[in-house]
Amino acid sequence: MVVMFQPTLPNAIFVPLASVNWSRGFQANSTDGGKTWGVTAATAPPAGALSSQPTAIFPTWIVNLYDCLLQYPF
Amino acid sequence: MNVLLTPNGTANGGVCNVQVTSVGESGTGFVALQDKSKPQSNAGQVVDIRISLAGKGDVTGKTANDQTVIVGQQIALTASLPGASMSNPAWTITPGPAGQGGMYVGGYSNGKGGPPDDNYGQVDPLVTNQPSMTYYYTAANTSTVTFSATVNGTNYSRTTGFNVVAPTGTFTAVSLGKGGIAVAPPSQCPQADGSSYQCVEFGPAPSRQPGMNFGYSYTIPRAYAGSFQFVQAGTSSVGATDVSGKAMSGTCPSQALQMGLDTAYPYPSAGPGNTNHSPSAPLLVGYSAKQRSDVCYGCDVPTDSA
Repeated sequence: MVVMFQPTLPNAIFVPLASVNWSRGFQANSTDGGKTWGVTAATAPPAGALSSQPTAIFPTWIVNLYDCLLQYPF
Repeated sequence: MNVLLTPNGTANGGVCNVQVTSVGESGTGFVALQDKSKPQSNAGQVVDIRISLAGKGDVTGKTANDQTVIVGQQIALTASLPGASMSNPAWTITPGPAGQGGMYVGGYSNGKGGPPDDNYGQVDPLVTNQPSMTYYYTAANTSTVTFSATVNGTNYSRTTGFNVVAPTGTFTAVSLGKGGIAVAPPSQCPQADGSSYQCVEFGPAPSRQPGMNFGYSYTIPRAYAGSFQFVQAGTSSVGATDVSGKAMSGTCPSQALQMGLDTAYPYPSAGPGNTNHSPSAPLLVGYSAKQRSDVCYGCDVPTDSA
């Protein structure tokens, strides 16, 4: 996640101030054809506070993840 | 201005070498030492290139002590030389560009002339080989801008400088840890198409606390105002195995070294100065395994693996 700032001036842009990098993942399994599930492995940032870091690197993207994931309906 | 006349005993017609140097202003806006063999070169003409800042006027020779700007402010500079033409115009900004240890960008847009949107966000390149240049600072620091050009075969340069200020404060995040990832009932897993499935959620029942919470507290430098926003971009990978044993997978975006936007630009706030995130993924009937990995912007923090 990135927090960005834009001054109230003509033609100004948002610029990044700081970012917190994080990720999460999981593995889930079902033994009854998908009627019930259980998480068998998971990754996430450690519980508690994470440190942010000042950044001048802009977040950039070429797709919307929500729309992109629709092509993998499983 | 200093004028140095150096009589040359061997020169014809009483020709002297004339050296003119500027005092008290940066740059090389005056003709160089004239050789007696080329007495017509520039003919003593002063090449007075000026740098102007949109909204301010002439800023030639200014330093960081003279003018302050704020990150994100549009800096539109124009170099001019009335009555004469310049070739090979070139701008140099120090420190260098953002992302390479520097502090400026040419812009931030959707690549189509508008601001970033839900589908595309990019950093625009900076054009430095024209008499005019528009850019934006991205970090607090001092900066020197140099314009150079060729006039009548001689290269000249002028400088201006800026003191760049930025909001100061903190940006924090709190994670539930891997223990916050669990299966949630269909009632907590609304699907966009109205269907209902179980899902894996980061922050499910019974706590219903978001898996990630983010908050900021910044002070904007005096004499300025502005606004803040959240943006989240990254990559997602998903895989599944159906009851027949067929495995399938996909990654968004499919292009290497690229990122996708997490749902909306900007990322929705949950309140003044804070937001949260509880990513979820559906678990469908007819499958025996499901994997999902969401890697956020940058994402080089240690993870708490099961």
